[in-house]
This record gives sequence, structure tokens and C-alpha cells, in this order.
Amino acid sequence: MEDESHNNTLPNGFNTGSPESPFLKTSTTTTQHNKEQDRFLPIANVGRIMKKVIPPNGKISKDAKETVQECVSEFISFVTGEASDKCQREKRKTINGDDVIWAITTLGFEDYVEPLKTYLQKYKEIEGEKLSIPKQMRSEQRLQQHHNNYHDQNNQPFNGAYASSNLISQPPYVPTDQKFSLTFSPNSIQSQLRQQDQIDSVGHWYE
Amino acid sequence: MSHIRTIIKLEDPDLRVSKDALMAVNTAAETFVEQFVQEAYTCCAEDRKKCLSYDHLDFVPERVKAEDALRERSAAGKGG
Repeated sequence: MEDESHNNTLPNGFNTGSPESPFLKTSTTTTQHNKEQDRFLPIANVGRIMKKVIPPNGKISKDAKETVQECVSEFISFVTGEASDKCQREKRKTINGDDVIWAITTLGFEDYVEPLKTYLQKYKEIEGEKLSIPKQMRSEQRLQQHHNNYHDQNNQPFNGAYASSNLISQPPYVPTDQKFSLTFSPNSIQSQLRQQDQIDSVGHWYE
Repeated sequence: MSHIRTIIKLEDPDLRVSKDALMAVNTAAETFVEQFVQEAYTCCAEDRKKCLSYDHLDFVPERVKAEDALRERSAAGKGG
């Protein structure tokens, strides 16, 4: 058997995916970049929070955003690491909100504790309301509410400018400064209209 | 929230995190950024600049492992 040099090139010149393929290279670098980005919060979100606390005319450089982005990730790891240690000591597997608050206090971020407690309390109340009502009941309530709103909209009386009640209640227009004489009086038309109103439309056709 | 969960899982993949813990970390992180940037912008204003750059974040400490920082902190507490 002779050694054959197998080249992975097709007759049309395309490569069939050897390790030297440029497509493979780009995909691996993209994966590495994605893994790198997984370590941080999205820079757009970080930038939005940063903009919130500086004046409207203030600007933030890209490197400042990136630094803060990295700092936030470190902060999250720092806090959760401490909370995790507490859970391990107490032989628990799940970190809860109180563990996070304890960790924040221990690490010297006491200023954050009060707003955090308030926030967590409100969150727990909302979650409690959700849990107290079963999912099916909630969906039924939502449907009922939607149904009621729809009926309320449809049952509202029409009070437009051209509503029939508005037109009938208005007095007949009688011009005072007419330059020409009318061949009929306005009152005669009114009386004709009233008579026609009294006739039943179906009866009118069958007569 | 999912990003925060990912960051936590990178530290310890076996760790379980409740919803309210995620909420707490999320709020704390936001507060941290706000406070951090406010302090940085004070430096920026003193510098009479309108653009917040890396130089204004000069109070960011150098990289220290969490356990080392805590050890130093507890040692300082005992000494004081």
C-alpha cells in the first residue's frame, strides 16, 4: 500500500472542512467571544443605567462602560460567592433573597440593604398574590374582565353631534330676512315629516 | 435576569438560586452601578469634563481575590 496524500479539496476548489478551513476558525473565535460576553451583563443595559444618573448633556466613553460592565460582574460574583458560602455552612443548596441581603451587609454595602428589603417585600407580595390565585382562575378572571370591558364600550349611548335626539329637539329654522317667497310653509313640511314618522315602515310597504 | 443567573452559574454550576435572590442581586447590581457612576461623575465634574472616561474611574481597586479582600477586612476589624 502506498501513502496517498488525501487533500480535502473538491474539483471546484472548495474546501471540505479541514482544520485549516477559515470557516472553522471564525466559528471558534465567535464561540470564544460569546463565552467571554456571557461573563458580563449586556453593555447596552449597563450604559442605560449609567446614563440615568448623569446629566442629560453628559457623555460616557466606551472604555468607561466596559470597565463598569466588568465591575458589575465582579460585584455579582462577590455577593453571590459570600451568600453561597453561607448556604454551604448551613447545609442548604439554594440561595434566597435573605442570603443575598446578609452577604451585602457583610461585604460593607449597608446603604443598599434598606431599599433592597423594601423591594424584596413588594416582590414577595406580588408573587404571593400570584400563587394564591390558581393560574386557571387568573385566566378566567382576565377573560371576564375583557368581556365586561367590551360590553361597557358597546352599551354606551351615542352622544355624537348628529344623534337623532339632538336633531329632533332643535327648533325648526325659520329665516326672518328672506328676499324671496317660499311656495310652501316650513310648518307644512314639519307636519308631513311627523306623519311619516308615525307610519310603520313595514306597513307602509304592504299598503 | 438570565444574564445574572449565567454569571452566578459560572462561579458555581451546582448552585441553585431562587427567584427572589436573583431579584435582590439584580436590584443590588443596579444600585451599585448608580452609586459607582455618581461618584465617578463627581471626579469628572471636578476635572471640568463632560465625558465620563476610564480615568475618572481611578478609584476602582486593582484585582484582588474575594477571599483575600475579606481576610484583610476581618484582620482590620480585629486590629481596630
